[in-house]
Amino acid sequence: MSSEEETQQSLPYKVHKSTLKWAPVFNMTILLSIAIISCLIRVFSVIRYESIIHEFDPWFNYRTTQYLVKEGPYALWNWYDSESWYPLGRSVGGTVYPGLMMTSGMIYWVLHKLSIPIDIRNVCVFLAPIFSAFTSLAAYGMTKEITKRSEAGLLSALFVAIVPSYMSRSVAGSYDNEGVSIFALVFTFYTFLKTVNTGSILWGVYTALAFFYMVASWGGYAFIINIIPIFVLFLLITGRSNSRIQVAYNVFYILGTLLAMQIPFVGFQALHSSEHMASHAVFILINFLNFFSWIRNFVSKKAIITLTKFLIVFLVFSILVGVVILTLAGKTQWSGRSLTLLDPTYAKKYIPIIASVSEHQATTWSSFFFDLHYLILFSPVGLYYCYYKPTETKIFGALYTVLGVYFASVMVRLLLVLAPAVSIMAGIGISWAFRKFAKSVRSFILPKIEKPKKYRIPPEIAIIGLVILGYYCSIYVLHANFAGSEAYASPSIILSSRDRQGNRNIIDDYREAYYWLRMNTRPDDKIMSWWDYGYQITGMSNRTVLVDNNTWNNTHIATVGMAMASSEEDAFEICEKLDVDYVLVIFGGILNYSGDDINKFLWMVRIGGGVYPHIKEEDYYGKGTYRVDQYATETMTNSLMYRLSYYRFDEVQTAYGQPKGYDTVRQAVIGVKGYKLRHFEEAFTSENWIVRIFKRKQRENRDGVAFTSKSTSQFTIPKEFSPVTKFSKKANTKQRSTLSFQNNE
Amino acid sequence: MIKFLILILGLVFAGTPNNQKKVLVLSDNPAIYVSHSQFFNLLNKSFRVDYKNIQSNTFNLQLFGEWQYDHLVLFSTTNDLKVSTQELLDFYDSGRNILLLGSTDQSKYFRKFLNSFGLDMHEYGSSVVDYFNNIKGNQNIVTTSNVNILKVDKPVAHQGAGLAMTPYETFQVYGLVRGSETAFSGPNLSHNIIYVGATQGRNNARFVATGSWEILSDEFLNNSNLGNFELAQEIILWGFGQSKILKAENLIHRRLDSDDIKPYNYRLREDCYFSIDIFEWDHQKDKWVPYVSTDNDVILEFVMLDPYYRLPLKKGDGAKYELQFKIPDVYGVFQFKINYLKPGYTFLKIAEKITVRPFRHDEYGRYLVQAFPYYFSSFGTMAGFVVFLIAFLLNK
Repeated sequence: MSSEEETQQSLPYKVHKSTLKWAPVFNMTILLSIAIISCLIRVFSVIRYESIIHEFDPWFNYRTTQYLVKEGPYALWNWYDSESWYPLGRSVGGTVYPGLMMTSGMIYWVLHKLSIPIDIRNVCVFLAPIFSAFTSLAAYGMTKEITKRSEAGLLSALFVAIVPSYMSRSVAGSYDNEGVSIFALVFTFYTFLKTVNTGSILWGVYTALAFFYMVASWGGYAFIINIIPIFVLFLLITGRSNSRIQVAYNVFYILGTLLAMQIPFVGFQALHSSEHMASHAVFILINFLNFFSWIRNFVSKKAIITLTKFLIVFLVFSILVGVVILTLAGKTQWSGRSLTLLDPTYAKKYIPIIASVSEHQATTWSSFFFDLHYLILFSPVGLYYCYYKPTETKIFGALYTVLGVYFASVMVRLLLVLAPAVSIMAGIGISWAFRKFAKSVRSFILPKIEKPKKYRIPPEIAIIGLVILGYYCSIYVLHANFAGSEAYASPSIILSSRDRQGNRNIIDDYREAYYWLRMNTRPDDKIMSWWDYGYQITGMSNRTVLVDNNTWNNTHIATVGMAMASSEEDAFEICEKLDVDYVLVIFGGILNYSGDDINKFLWMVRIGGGVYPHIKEEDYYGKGTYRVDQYATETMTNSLMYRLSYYRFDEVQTAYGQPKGYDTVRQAVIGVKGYKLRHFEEAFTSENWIVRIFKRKQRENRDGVAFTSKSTSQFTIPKEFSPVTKFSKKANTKQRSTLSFQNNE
Repeated sequence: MIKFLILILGLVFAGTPNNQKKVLVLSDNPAIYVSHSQFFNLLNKSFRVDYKNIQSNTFNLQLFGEWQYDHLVLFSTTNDLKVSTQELLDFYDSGRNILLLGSTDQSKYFRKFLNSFGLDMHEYGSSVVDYFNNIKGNQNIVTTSNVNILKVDKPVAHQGAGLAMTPYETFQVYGLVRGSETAFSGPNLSHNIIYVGATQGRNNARFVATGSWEILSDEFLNNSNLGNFELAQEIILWGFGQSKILKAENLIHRRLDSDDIKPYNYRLREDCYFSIDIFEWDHQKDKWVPYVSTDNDVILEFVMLDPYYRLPLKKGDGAKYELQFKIPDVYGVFQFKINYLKPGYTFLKIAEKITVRPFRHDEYGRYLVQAFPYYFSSFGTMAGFVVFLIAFLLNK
């Protein structure tokens, strides 16, 4: 027996051999476990609360899914919803990304065909966790396409599966477009990279189909239709383009654009909107260059040079002129949200309605760290690795990460797009580091197998490095676990608090109030509230609302904002014109619930003032700041929002050692006490006063007729009689329009 | 058994003339029973009348939350009522009618009360003077032919204070009898004097006020040259809700080519048919008769935030008012609205909500002539592609 054979028989070598033999099995088992974990970590919300749809937008998706399941896909396509945006209505079929609803509809129908009588609500609640499992599988595939290494893929899959940023949008009950479209995004990239690696038209077709699913489910598809052209352009400029790239891009572009046009909401926007312009330009460019290199075979060298110069100038010039002309002629335009991405201050200056949404704010460092945690430390390693020995796919991964970082820093919600990129990069980076360390250790234990190399990390350092990396990874897992079980498990329509003994108290005011509306108002009553609660009211109360979270009509929202910001009399006129029966306000002054309407009120004023200039923000600032106490301005204390929120608030004591009428959120005693409402009456106030509902009274019998002046020179002209019933331009004057006799004769 | 008795009793009482509307007359001057006997005769013909002293405590407007009377006649005095003005206003706002006969020296109480109806009385003690339109040269007994809403042919005489209001009829406050151009009153020489003013509440309750008692006194009512007798009749009919009462019913809207009444929704650009029956109460025949508007002024509005149409309804058979029109090219929740606020008539406010939906995906036109170049080019491309494929595959 030779010494070599002896060493082969020793234990470490045996372990090494059998491990290599069983590696594919390990691989699959680990991947499967990751998929299962990604599902399970997201059901904390169901365990802690109940199987319920969360937040705001999911309620619309849920309602639409219910409609789809009941009426069928064609009815959804043609659904004209007269219960929202009264009286404008909303043509849902043409303004919705139906991918999410169709997915859960499919699952529902298939399960029912298999005689599994599942409720559609449970399909909706658990859809996002299931898709997160698919996402981790797709991330595995994508990383494998980038690095050709399955260990990097496994780490990436693990990171994606539990990254808190993605978890925040895909816990059970968070039934939103992002839940399925992050899967679609990663899967599209996976298939695209596969096409780039293989040059296969078939995989190109798969890419287009995956892209189609992405377009069907989320407006974020614009990210894909821009990043792939940018990637191709990058390769063209750096001279790395080849026939595989051409195949991949052409198949993706032609089929993808055609398929995107099949979604009613996108339609011809796929041709003329600015978001798609880059894809058209790159398509022209790549085929033109192809054509040019073909011509080169037939023309002399000298002619080529002049031709090149001429053509480059011509091409650049014509594309520029084309884009400018289209933009000036209004044929193509940037949507507000896209412009916000290019110029982060744009929305703040011009579109308050976009700026008012918290998820459109610029990202803070704390949320970067909370949502991505150690991944932001790991991912630069992967990024370095990608630039270190670039291939096409690595360049793609790096580009995706860099662009993702830019978008994520502009808007909080786009952290979601960055999360897979960072996870994949971190997976690549960590696995690279692990590999280096492991090689060193292995060469120490099994000196015969590893080839000798000039430089290798000393094994002691390698072991320490492994321990440290393993420690950080486990910290990340713990953090993700905390985020999944505590931070992102709250459905936000059910609040919870802990008392001194540590018991959980469930605060269920929202559902209490919505249920009251459902049971105690007429079916065709119209509810006016700020748009945040529109989807919930239509979803849970089944009543008509004026505005909702689909903020498609700024003017209508501004009208509601104006009504809230106007005095009671003026608000009554607006409400009467809009047939409002109930006004719903959210008030947190008793429970110290800071997300209430008084805190959102400045946005109502800003949005209202954007359309109706008589509403001025500074009128609502007392002594230079926004306040509700005795220094609040008269405009502020007269506004409908103030009056409704604080109606009879001065009769309760909210905090120990404070006088009655102490607002716990604003930490001040309210400025106006003991007032009465003339045109509205309190209809319902929930247990903790979070939801307050007021009924609009009928116009008084002799309203506008009675007068008290002894002089008859001043008469009030009833509003109904005045020939043009426009909204009063005076926001805060109690005095009505008065006309003297002489003027009217 | 007791229940049965109560039922019987109820039936008995329901059948008696108790069913008649009850009028309460309040005054503190017994002389009116003599001076206004004609007027009270007219009242007695159609109502059960209670006479009470204004200051007595022997009457209750309201008992256990139930109003005891349907109409109220007030002879204003220098004294205040025991009842607060608010209770009188509540009486009115509950849909009951009030007739106020004012006087030049009436108390502040009644002035305030008048103000609540958009009317005002001229200064204390002042009475209307007219040097051109008067009786027997007495400039204080003035006459006028300017009678609105009510049907009086002869000139009407008036003696006493004048009322003031806007110089035109608003949709709620009317000058039933207006002074002539030459009449004036008080130290400020006010013009545009109202002799009889009226207010109709949004609930169609009616309030009539005069500047003085005399306008309904026997002295003027018995004078056959004057229209005061007709005026008294008309005031009782109109003021106590027997004439110019309208009702609308049987609202129908449908697609022009369909019998499906009140469909769930319409599609934009569809032809739509709308009709409604409007009746007027005929107190002589004691039944509803078709209402005929001479002015073609029953307007249908088709509203979503703003009116998209404002069209006069055409008079059809019987009480029917109808119209057919094309739904506009806008979708939304529309309302058929009729706001019939004709002075003197009960208000008709009708709103019917319908949904106008956009085209379904399969309702758009297909194979349009102007689209043939596109069809041709796309089919041409397909054919060309097939030819190219064959050529490419065979041409090795």
